[in-house]
Amino acid sequence: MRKNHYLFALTLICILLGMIIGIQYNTVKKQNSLTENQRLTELTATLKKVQEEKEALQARLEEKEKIIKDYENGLNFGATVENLQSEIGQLRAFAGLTEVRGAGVRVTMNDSSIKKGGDSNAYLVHAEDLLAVMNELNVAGAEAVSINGQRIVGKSSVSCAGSIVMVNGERVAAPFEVLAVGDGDILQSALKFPGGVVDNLAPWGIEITIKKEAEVVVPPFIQTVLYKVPVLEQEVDQ
Amino acid sequence: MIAPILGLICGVLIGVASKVVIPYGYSGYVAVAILACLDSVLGGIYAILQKQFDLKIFATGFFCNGILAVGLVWLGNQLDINLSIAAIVVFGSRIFNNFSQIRRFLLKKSQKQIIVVTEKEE
Repeated sequence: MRKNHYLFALTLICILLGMIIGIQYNTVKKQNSLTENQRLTELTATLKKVQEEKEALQARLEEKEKIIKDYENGLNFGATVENLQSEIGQLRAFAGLTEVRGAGVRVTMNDSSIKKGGDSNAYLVHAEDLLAVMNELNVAGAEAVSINGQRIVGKSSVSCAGSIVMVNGERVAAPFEVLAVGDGDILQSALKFPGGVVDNLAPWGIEITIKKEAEVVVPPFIQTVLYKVPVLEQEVDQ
Repeated sequence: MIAPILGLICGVLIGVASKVVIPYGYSGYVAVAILACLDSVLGGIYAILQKQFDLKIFATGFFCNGILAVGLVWLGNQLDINLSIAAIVVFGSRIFNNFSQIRRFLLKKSQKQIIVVTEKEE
């Protein structure tokens, strides 16, 4: 008799537990379908983007094919020379052999003025710090970057040389001024995002200021590069 | 012993049929509460089998464990530690313990009955 009493209580509580489990089941099911929907919209957006990209590439392909046709025909000599010249201009800009002006940011970095003990090297601006800043700027889509007047190009090097830094083989010293042409807002936020370059340098008291400017002038790469070792690849004949 | 199981199944069906949905963000708490309650129910079944069942202990255990588990997870969320893992581990292992005790008890009981029967036959 007493046992039945207990069983009754147990049954009641089991019903309650079952109801909670059922409701939870509903919830989890609904949440899963929600995330699936989110994924669907994400994929749709990606598809649209890829399609646009494809169209743009298609247009570029047609353009290039037209240029090739011009060359092949050789009918329009003036146009060919013009094409070549514009191509040279583009390549020079791409190689960093031209001065670049435009909106951008000016980043100045100076050695720490606080010296709280410990390794005094930690309070200096290192080649690695410059590389990190330069890299972030490039990641954020900077079109041209220079460090203390030294244009950063494909062949550039930034290395540590004791108390100074070598950029492109030239000695540069603090304060460092990094100029970058590009979207100022994006460049600025690329450096300032939490846990980013600025945050990493902050504990050491390294003075870093980022200023968005309407026009910065990035100088051209002025050294001459003589290719001796590699055999320059001939352009493949079409 | 069948009544509680039937009750559980009925409860699940009612819960699913009710179409009630817990607001987003609370489902984690409910999951832990379910574990705590499941542990209490298994503990209760074991106590009934041992004939040590106390309704007060059972009822308070059912609700207090659930509330404590939810409170612990809430505290964990405030402190940014995943305390739900602690609740899951503890209640999970207790569920297994309780279940194995019940299993042993039932096995022993049936063995005894067989022994009694054979003795009688002799």
